[in-house]
Amino acid sequence: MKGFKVVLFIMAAAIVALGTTAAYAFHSGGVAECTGCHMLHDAKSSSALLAGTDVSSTCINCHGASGASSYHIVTPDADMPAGTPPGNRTPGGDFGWLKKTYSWSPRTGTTSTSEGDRHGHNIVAADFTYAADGTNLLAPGGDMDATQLSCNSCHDNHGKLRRLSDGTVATTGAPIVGSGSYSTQVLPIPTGQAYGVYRLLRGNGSTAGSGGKTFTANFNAVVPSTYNRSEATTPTRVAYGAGTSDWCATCHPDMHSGTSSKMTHPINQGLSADVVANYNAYKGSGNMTGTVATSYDSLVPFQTDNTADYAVLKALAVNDGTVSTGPATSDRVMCLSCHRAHATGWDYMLRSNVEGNEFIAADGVWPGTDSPSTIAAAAKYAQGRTVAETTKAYNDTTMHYATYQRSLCNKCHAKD
Amino acid sequence: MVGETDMKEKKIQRENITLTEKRHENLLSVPQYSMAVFFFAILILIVSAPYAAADIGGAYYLYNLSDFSGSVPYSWAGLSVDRAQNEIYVVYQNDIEVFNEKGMKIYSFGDDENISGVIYDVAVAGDGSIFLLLHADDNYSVMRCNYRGESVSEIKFRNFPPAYSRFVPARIIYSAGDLYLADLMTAKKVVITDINGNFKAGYDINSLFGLDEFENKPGQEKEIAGFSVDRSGNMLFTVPTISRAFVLSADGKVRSFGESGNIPGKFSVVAGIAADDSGNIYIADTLKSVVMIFDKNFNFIMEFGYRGEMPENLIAPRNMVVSNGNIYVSQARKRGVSVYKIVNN
Repeated sequence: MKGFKVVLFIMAAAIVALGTTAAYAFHSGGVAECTGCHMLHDAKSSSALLAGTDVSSTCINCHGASGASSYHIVTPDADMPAGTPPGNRTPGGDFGWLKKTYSWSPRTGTTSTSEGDRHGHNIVAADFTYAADGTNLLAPGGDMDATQLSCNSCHDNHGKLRRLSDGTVATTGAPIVGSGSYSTQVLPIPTGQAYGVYRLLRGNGSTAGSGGKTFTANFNAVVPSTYNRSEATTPTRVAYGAGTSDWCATCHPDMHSGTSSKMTHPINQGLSADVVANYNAYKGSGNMTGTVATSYDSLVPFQTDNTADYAVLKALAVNDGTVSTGPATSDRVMCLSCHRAHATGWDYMLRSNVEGNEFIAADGVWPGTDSPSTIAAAAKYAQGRTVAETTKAYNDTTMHYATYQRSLCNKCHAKD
Repeated sequence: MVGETDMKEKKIQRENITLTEKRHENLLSVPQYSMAVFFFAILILIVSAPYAAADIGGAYYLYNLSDFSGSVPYSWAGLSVDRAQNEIYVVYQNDIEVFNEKGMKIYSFGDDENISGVIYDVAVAGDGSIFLLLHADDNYSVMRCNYRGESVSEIKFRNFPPAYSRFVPARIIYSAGDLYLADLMTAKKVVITDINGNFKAGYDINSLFGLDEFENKPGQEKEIAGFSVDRSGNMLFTVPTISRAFVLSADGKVRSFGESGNIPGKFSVVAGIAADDSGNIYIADTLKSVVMIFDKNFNFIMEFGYRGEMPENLIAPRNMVVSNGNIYVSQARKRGVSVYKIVNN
């Protein structure tokens, strides 16, 4: 009888413990709480009993709160009046940039414009007035209907994809017990358990999301546990691994040098010895005094080898500056070397401005219409943005390049 | 001696009377007993009526906050209330717009050249002083303005303990002569100061609510979505990712309620929270697109709104204030701020 009571006690304790875990981990590395997204009754969306008008609106209900913190990737309109940038600094960027259109007059009689919908992936989220891309009706380099672009085009909101203890990735198998995105993940994965894949991104075996694209590549990466942060003092280093560019090519095949017949920038290829030497030496326009030990720049990241070894990736994913090593020839250039996945302050969702009319920084500072430097405030450099907006577009990175800094293409190519 | 005898007799008499009364109590007939129970029940109902769930009969839609061109198309605007004047303050894109009790815009400000940074929130004191919470470059400041919104002076905060050095508030509320500053996302702490910025009390929400065990577990952050202060000085919070609402009294006592689910009274993605003068608690649910009403003992009373295109419906409600029997709810999709009247039975 006493033994029976002990068993009962253990069962009750287990139920309490499991219940607590379930209640406290909304996405749990995989599928989220059902009632966090679906209304079982009275749902008003077009499908799936979603409580938002569409999928992305449902996501933004949680991911679009005010202020810069953790999982927020959409700054509400209320918090970003003209002259004020979106507040989030996640590696993917803040979708709020899509609502920032800038105009300026670089010289008398001319007007230049940086349209908001050129700043990122134009997800459709009616509840938050995010509309389809007005310029690209199809995915650039692909055929996906822009009106179908949604958070779940890329992310599997049900997160069935998992990394198993033997390193394989599958949609079934051991239960997902936690996130596989962060540098805090315990490795190796215990037998009989699995972690969710990086950022619940779709991958090989996932069903197609909005837009109907089926992914065959898996996106391997690890991010520091604190990632929505200012990079003023130290960079947020995301360790990108195998598959990142092939993954993007699912919707943009004609942008990938491996699948396109066009002349396009090499992607998913090892860095040449010259590029590696440039990257590691480059500190700014004309300044080639850097060394491999400290050359990493989060505005120009690279893929680590072609690895899916999470122990390797985890060791590189830091935000305290303790790992600042630059690339070797085994490392690769990827789409995200130049672009962010969500949105940025620059055209073509680039990490930095490539249309800087010579200089992206002038007089030793980031430019802006309100800069105390009359040079940095010049329209051709400020490009309609305030200093706060320019600075935030660089994730608050301190302007540590040359006093007059040219495009960061030069980090790899050193033509300046 | 005589006196001692008299005292004994009186004591015996008192005991007899007491015994007789007890016997009489025990000798109630069945009808008498039933009547007593009936009247006792009536008494209980009368006493508890003002606080019972049945007190609130409903809430009906009045109008949207408007200017002379119609409903103002805010999305997720910030809200604050001047209880003394019964005016509603809307924070939107670095402007403060003021509405009277009829829901008409009567004033706006925010373009004072001395106000630098993004206006995150506003609090209004009984004497007409206005406090603007400003953010600039990851720092915050509070600017005291006069009743016209003209800057007067920046509040100098003093005597903050070292534990509050990383404190970056996202909300400011004025209540009973004090300023409540709440960091809802990073430090998750609340500080109470006097209106001159002198530290009076601080609360570590992570610790008090048991959220701190998740602080180092990325992806499981427990951000606070809703925050308000009731007339008694109780602080109210919602934490959407654990489907929970908390009430923190000034002495540090914590009560909480709520569980996840779709049915009326359950939490999906909870956001704004407020209390009326009777202690009833109102919680906006962004996902369910409703406002739920609970009595002060956390018993669910009713919910209203529901997602839809009709004026009385809500789309992703978020911030909310309660004043003078009205509920003001800010929504997404440029549906502005809807005003509802609370109806008592």
